[in-house]
Amino acid sequence: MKIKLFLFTFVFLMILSACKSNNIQSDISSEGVNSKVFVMQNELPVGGDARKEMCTKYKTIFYGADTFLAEIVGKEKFNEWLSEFENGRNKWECNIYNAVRELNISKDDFIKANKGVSYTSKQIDAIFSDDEDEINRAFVNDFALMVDDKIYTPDWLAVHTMSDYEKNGIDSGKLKEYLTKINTEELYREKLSIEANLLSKKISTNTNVSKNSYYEIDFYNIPDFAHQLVPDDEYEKWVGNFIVENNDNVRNMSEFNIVNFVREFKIKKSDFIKADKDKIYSKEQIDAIFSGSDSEINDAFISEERESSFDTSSETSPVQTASTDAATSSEIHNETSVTD
Amino acid sequence: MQVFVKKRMVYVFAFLVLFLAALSYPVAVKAEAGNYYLSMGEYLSGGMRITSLNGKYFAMMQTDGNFVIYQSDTQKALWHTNTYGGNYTSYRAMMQTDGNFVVYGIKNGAMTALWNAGTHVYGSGTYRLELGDDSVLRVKKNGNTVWNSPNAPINSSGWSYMFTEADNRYISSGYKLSERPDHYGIDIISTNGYTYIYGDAIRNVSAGNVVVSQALNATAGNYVVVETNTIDTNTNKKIKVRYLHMKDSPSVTIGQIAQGTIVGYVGNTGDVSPKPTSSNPYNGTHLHFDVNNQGKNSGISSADALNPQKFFPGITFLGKTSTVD
Ligand SMILES: [Zn+2]
Repeated sequence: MKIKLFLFTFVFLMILSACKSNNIQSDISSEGVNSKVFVMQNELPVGGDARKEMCTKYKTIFYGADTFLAEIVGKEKFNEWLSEFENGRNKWECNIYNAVRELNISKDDFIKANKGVSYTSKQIDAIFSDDEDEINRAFVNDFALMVDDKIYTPDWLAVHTMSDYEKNGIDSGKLKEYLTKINTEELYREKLSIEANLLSKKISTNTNVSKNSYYEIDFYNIPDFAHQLVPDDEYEKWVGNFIVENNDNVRNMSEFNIVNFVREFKIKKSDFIKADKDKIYSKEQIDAIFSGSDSEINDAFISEERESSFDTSSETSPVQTASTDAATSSEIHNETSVTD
Repeated sequence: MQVFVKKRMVYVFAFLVLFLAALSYPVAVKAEAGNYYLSMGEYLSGGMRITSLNGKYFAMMQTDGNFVIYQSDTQKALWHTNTYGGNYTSYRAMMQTDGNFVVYGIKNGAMTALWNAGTHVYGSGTYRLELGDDSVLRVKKNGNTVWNSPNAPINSSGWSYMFTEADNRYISSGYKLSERPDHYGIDIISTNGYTYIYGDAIRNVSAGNVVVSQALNATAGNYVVVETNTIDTNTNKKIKVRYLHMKDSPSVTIGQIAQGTIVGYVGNTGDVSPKPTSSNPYNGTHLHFDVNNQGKNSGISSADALNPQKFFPGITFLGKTSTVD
């Protein structure tokens, strides 16, 4: 009964908003703080992804301004500083490091107001140091990898390849140890991708990875040879879209796949075949990647076992979605994320 | 260090109040036997008890100085103040007129505070100490719980719902549902259409301490983390709850918080979807509420989270409800 009422209201509002679409803007600006506003939305509002909190460089508490700062500098000054972020300043710059500097907060005042609750003394020392390494050590996210005081997030590691790891001095020993740390459902795909990079050759020959994952890794990972086909800066720009931090509209990881890669970089099939010296992809898979056909991609990349386990999979396969929802393969990278 | 000094001040203050009260007129009275509560100024001396209305539990000021909650039939101790073994001649558990509930040791006419609930910080009002039918001892100010003993059973009805509006019960994204398995909370909107909830007051579900209160966090937005006084029986840790994406800076800052206190107002800050735009500034409006038993303030993974719905057995949720544990 209540659902019916809800649906009825919903439809009614849709009609209302369609009729009055020109008035929406003015209605909003004239509304008070607690008033109800008729604004139509096409998708239900959601938020609070577990994975996103795991993919930031620092622990969540680093990004934000604690309300106890207002006790030190006064509400007015505190709100004035916050308004910078409501007026277009990058939201990632609203962090405790910038807050204490820009609001001229002394360490003593901070310690008193913190009451030993929100920040540890190690973190407070780091906030008031000008040493990035110290901040990294004090605030590193539990799900990130730290090598020589530099932080690598799981999403960064997933979209980069072995040659990137080597450039940054990340050796396979450290990565193997790190993989045990991110053995959680939320970072399942990142873990598979890092494993694939570590192997640097056809994943199917490795016995550590479950059989159901072979096809998924072949599809969702960009191997080093493919990365080498495009200039580094262009590759960085592309993978940057998938990194949670510093991204307002982060692209869904399901769109980080070999089909989108060859399509968006306009890779030639002959170049691709030549570069795949270790034969990571089968002939059938390569044909499928360049076919533009979703059913071919499905056949080449989804195993029998995998297909049946997709029902309970933690992610939606873009290939599957595309094959049912869209006839053209361009839909694959236009797919809107369910988990966003 | 800071905390220690404060506690001592509390004791000195509590002692002074009591001393002055004793000098002027006898405010403090012994509670009647068989009561399930103590009113302001009432106390239990050694050997006296209060009993829950259903008779299943009693809380006793023991002659050894310990104040203990027992299960009546099994005589199993459920919680205690750990104040036994001191060198005192008698003891008192007192619901003070200043709102604090204190256990005293008495020797040679001098009273020493051995343990206290710290509830005097909530200021003047009508206070009462109650032993509930769920075994939980509560200090209530004007009927709202400001402190509870940590033996609250999980999924008991001890928590209050965060909204007073009857229509704010529609879940737009549920707990660990297959369509969004890495969502470990509930996203609440209004059954009247989700923009209706914008600006509605969010009330704290259970007494405890605010441990994080931040404005404009990149992912959580304006948010508050409360460490409740409820200890999870599996992990032995205090259960934490989080209120995310609020409209303005949180209304509370770190420190003690009562049940029912407004933590903030529903909004759409931080990482919400769909994103607010200049033409649709109320896009993404909802309250994300989650519960974990690992003492986490962020980075909550599947094994850490509890189904928030189960803490509100009296609430009928609509939409994307979940029965997953
Ligand atoms: Zn949520």
